[in-house]
Amino acid sequence: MAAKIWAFLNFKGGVGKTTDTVNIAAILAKHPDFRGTRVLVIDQDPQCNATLWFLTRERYHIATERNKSAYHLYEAQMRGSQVPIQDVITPVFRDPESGGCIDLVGASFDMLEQEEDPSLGGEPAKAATVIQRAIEPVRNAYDYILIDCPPGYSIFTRNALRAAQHVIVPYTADYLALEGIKWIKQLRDRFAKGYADPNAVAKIGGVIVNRYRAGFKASDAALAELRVVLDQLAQQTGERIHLFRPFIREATAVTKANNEQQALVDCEATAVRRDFIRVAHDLVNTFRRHV
Amino acid sequence: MSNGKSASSGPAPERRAKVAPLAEGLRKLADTLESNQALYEPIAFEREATALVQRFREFLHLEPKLHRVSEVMFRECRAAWLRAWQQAPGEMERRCEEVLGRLPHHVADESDLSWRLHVLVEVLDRLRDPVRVLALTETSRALEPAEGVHVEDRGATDALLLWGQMTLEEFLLSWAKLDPDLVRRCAGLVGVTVSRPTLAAKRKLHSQAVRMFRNTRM
Repeated sequence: MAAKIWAFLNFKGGVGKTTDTVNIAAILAKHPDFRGTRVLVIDQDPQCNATLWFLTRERYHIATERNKSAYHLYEAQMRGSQVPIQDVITPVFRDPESGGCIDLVGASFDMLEQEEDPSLGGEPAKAATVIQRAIEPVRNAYDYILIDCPPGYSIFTRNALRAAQHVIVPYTADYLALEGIKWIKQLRDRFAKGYADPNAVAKIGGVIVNRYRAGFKASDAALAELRVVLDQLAQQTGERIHLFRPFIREATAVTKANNEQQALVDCEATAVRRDFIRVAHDLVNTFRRHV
Repeated sequence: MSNGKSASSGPAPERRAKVAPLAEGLRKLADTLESNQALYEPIAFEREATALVQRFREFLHLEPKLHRVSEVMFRECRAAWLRAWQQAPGEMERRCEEVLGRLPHHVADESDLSWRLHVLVEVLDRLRDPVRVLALTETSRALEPAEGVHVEDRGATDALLLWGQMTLEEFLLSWAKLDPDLVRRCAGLVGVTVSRPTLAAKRKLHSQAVRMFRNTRM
C-alpha cells in the first residue's frame, strides 16, 4: 500500500513542528504498537532542525558532503534534470527483525539560497512538484512519509503541500499560533486554485496541541477559540478537521530529549511520552481509511 | 439599541406600505446570501452582509416593532436562528408555537428560509429580547448536535461571540436578563471567575468575549 503523506505545518514558529515530526516518526518506527512501520522523514526547513535532531551535527556534515539532502533534489531541478531520491536518503534507524525503519531526506543550510528563487530557474508550477515527483517511485517502500515544513510560505512549503495528502498543524495555545492556522487555510486555498484536481494540494487534516498546560486559564481560553475556528473552517470546507487527542502536555522531558538529540520513545517512560504515543495512535486511526 | 422610540404605536397605513417591500427585500437578500455563502470570498460575503444590515437599518427606521433590537443582535439571532431550524425544524416549530400561540401562515411561493425569517421577526417582537431568542435556538441545537463539531458548549460559545460584538454598555444592559448558569459556563470557558457580579467581573467577562470574537474572526 502506498505511504500516507503528512506535512507538519504552521506559519507560526516554535509551535512544535519539528518536535512532532521527529517524535511521531520515531514512535511509528520503534514503538511495539506500530512494529514494522517504515517511515521516511523529509526535512524541508532550511534551518535543518529535524536533520540535526536525527543525525547530530557530525553526521549532518557527512551527509552534506556526500550530497545527501533535499538541496540536491532542488538543485537538479534548477539544472533541468532529476536526482533519484534514493541518492539523497540517509538511513537513521533499522530494525532488522520487524523491518521497521526511519529514513531521512535531510535539509541543508544551502537551501536558504534556493528560497530566493521560487521558480528554481524554470517554471514555478514544476518547481512546486520536486518532492512529489521524487517520492513517487518510493511511495510503496514506506508506510508513512512525514514532511517537516519551515514556518513560512516558501517554495519548500509549496512542495510539501503538493506532495502531502494532509497537513497536520502543530499548535500551541496562543493567539499567534491560531492566526497561523487561519493563514494556512487561506494560502492553501489560494495555492489550490491553480489546479483543476481538488486533491492536488494537501487538505488540512488536523491539529496537534503542544505544550498544553492543564488548568491554566489562558490555555483553556485559547483552546476554546481554536475549537470555534476549527468548526468555522470545517463549515467552509465541508471537511472535518480533526483535533488530535490527547493534548501534549508541557514537559521538560521534551526539551531534555531535544538537547540530547533523542526521540522521546527512546527515553524513560514519562507522561508526555505517553501523550505522544497516544497521539500517534490517533493519527494512524484517523487516516487509516484514507488511500 | 438602535434608538429610543416607543415600540407601542402601530404602523400607519402609508408606513406599512413602505415597510412591506423593504421586508420582502430584506428576506430575499438574506435568502440569497444564505444559499450562496459557500461560494463567497470572505470579503465579498462581508460586503453583502453589510448591505443586508443597511437594509435592516432602513427597515428599523420604518418598522417600530424592531426598534429594541440592534443590528448586531439581529445578525447574530438570524444566524443562530437559521442554523437551529436547519438542525431541528420540528423542535423549532414546537417552540415557536409555544411562544407565538400560532405559527404565521406559510404563503404560496414563500421559501422556507423567508418564512423562517418571518417567524424570527414575530418571535423577536414577542420576546423583545434577542438573548431569549438565542436561548431558544441553543436549546433546540443541543437536541440534535452536529457530528464532528469541536465546540463543546455551543450555547456558551455563541453567547460569548454575541457579547463580543456588543459594546460594554449593551452588555451591561443585557446582564440582568442573562441566565446565571449561562454566565457561569461562559466565564469558565474564557477563564474568568464571576463569584459576584461586580462591575469589574462583568468588564472582564466582556473584554474576554470581545477577545474571543476578534481572535476567531476568519
